[in-house]
Amino acid sequence: MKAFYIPAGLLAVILGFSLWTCRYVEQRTSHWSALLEEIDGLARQEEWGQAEERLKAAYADWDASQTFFHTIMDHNELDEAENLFAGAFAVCREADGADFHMLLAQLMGQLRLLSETQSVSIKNVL
Amino acid sequence: MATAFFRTIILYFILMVGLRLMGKRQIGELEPSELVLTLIISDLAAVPMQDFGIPLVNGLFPIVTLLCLSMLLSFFSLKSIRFRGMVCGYPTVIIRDGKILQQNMARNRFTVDELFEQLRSQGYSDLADVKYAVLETSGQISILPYTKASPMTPQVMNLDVPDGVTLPVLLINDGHIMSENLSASGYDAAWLDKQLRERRLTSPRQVFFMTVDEAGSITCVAKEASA
Repeated sequence: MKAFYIPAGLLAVILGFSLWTCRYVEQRTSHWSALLEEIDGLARQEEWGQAEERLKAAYADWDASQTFFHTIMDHNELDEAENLFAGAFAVCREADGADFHMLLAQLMGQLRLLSETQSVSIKNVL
Repeated sequence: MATAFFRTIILYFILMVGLRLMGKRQIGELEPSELVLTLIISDLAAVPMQDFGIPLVNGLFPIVTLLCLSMLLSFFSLKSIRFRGMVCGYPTVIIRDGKILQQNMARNRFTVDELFEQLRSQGYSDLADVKYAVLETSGQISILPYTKASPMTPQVMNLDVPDGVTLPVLLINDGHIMSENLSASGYDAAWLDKQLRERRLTSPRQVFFMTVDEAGSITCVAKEASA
C-alpha cells in the first residue's frame, strides 16, 4: 500500500499547501488594502505626515512578506506593486492629493489582482 | 498555486485521453501514461529554468503532482485489470489465420504501409507466412508465423540438444575489478590474479573487459596500447 499512500499523501500535501497559500495571500492583501484605505482617508484630511508614516509601516509589512511571495507568485506582478508603492511615497512627499488617491487605488487594484491570481476559482483554473 | 495544481491534473488527463483516442500507432515504445508524463515534464522543467520571473515551485509542484498521478495510475493499474485496460488499452489482433482484420486496423489508425514495414523489419516478406499479428499496447507488433515459416529449432526437429546457454558476468570493466560480481560468481582476488598471470597480464588495468560464465568459461580482452 506504500505505492498508494506516498503519492496520495504528497498530492494531499500539495493541495493543502496550495489552499493555505490562497487563503494566506488573500488575508495579507486584504490587510494591506485596509491599511491603504486608512492612508487614503488621512490624505483626504490633508494629514500628510501621518499618511507617510502609515505608508512606511504598510510598506515595511509588505516588504517582510516578499521572500515568501516571490517563491509562490509571478515576480512581474510583485514588481508592479513595488513600483506603485515607490510612486505613492514620492507623491505623498509632494502632498499631491489627486495623484496620491489615484496611485493608492492602483496599488489596491494590484493587490486584489495578486490575491485573485492565487484564488481557486473556475475562472482561474480554466 | 492551487490553479497550477488543478490545471496540471486537468491537462494530464486530457492528454491521456487524447493519446488513447489517437490509437496505439502514435505511442511508440512508451505506454500512454508514460508518454504524457515525458511530454509535460520536459516542458514544465524548462519554463522556470529559463524565466527567472516565474517561481521555481510553479514548475516543481506540477512536476511532483504529475509523478504522483503517474504512480497512482500504476498502482490502480496493478490492482484492476479493467482500469489497466482503460489507461493502457488492450492488444489488438490485426492478422488472424493469415487474414488481415481491416476493421481492427482502422480502429487503431494502422495503415497497410505501416503493417508491411513492421512485417519486413521482423523478417517476413510474405503475408502468407504470418498466422497472427498483434498490435501491442506499446504500439509494437508481435508476429507469430505459421509453423512452416518458423525458424528451424531443435525442438521442431525432435533433437535432444544439451543446454549450453550461460550468462557471462563482467569481472573487469575497462581496468576496474567488479568486486561484487567476482564474489557473486564464487571467485576471489587470488583466482583473478592467477587468471591474469596465465594471460601474461600483470594488472587488471591492462584488461579492457573480462567475463566468466556459469560453466567457468573465461573471456578476456586486453586493452590496446593506445586505449
